[in-house]
Amino acid sequence: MIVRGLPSIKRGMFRASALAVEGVEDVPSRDTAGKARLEQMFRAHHELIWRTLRRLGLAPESAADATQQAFLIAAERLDDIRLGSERAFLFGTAVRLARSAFRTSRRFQLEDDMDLRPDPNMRAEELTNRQRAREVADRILSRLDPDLLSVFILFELEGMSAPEISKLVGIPVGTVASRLRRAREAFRAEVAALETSMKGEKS
Amino acid sequence: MDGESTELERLLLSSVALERPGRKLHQRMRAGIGLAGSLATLKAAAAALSVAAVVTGVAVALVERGAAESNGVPREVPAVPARPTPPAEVNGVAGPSEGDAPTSEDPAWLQEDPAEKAPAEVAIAEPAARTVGSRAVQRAPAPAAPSDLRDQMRLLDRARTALRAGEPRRALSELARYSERYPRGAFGQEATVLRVEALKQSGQDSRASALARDFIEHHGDSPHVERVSDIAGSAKPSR
Repeated sequence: MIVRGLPSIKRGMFRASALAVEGVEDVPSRDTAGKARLEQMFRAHHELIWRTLRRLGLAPESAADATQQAFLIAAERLDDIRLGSERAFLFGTAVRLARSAFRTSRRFQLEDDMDLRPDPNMRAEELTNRQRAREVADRILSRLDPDLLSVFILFELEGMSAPEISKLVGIPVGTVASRLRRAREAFRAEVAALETSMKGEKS
Repeated sequence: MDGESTELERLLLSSVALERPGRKLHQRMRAGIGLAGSLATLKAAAAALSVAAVVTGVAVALVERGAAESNGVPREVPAVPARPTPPAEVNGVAGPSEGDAPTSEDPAWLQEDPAEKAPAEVAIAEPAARTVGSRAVQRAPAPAAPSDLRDQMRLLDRARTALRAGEPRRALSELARYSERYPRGAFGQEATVLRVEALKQSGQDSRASALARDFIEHHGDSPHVERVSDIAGSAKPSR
């Protein structure tokens, strides 16, 4: 495959290249190409990664930190990431980072999460405030099984197709479909429960 | 979701679907990855890469790859179907990263040694850190192995957690450990910013502001500047 052959080709090439004017040699030339690729990856995927981490439960700043970590890990492994697989690599890394983050904080979050609504006295009309709606949505999403949640957010929020998700997550299309169905059922059930409680029929 | 979704479902989903990180977080991520302030350099280098390949007439694949990626066109993986990297590959260590030695083309954060540039910081750090820091300028830094990077992240995460828990002294001790182990670490700027915040939180106002001012002086373009500028100004009568 081309990637493995590149280093020796590049070394030969750059001795005579225009980049020699800048005094750039083998290692910096590869580093420059790597940075260019990383830049491209960042532009193309950082918002998806950040939003995914947000929906997996991280606060905005923590999601930014974890996004950064995912890209740094990708930077380390750049030569091993096949062209076209960058998004999948980043996504998989981000999911693992989120799960690792929640190994320590999950318990706290669950205890805090007994009521879906941030404020038990919140009224339905307050959901017209996007920030409020987002808080509630995130609490609902946090109750979904992580495997179902990933497929759900990629399909419903990122607009990916089942084949795309299959490739991204590394599961068969049939599994994507069944997880999506189960995720929708779970999400609907949670939202229905919320609507019921907002109508004043608290238990 | 599908044709049968309720209004509330749509409202909730749209509230999260439209969320974006915002300019500050965007810049912070770019800076943390080493892309801040280097876009022009990156673009010029990527373009030069493609031009050089055409001129010398070799490595056609490199030309296609460089040009496609700098133009934002995703390239088809030749022959081998793209697949996500399985977990084992990510968690395992593939070997030391190549080409990671800092050069004149690297962003400033990779080259500068915060311990060298911030006298206040040196005074606070453990003595061993200062010695290591001064040697770092002459010593060629080793390429950052994957485990090093993760260790760096862990140390900073612990410092951050300590700060949030209201334990600035613990944060400072984690940061001292970071400086000692990684005097030219990839997260030098973030470590300095955290140190500023920890000093402030622990009541060492003058040290905090001195370090903050030094940071702003040396990293004026950094998106982290906003985080420390308040502290930089706080101990002085005027900015």
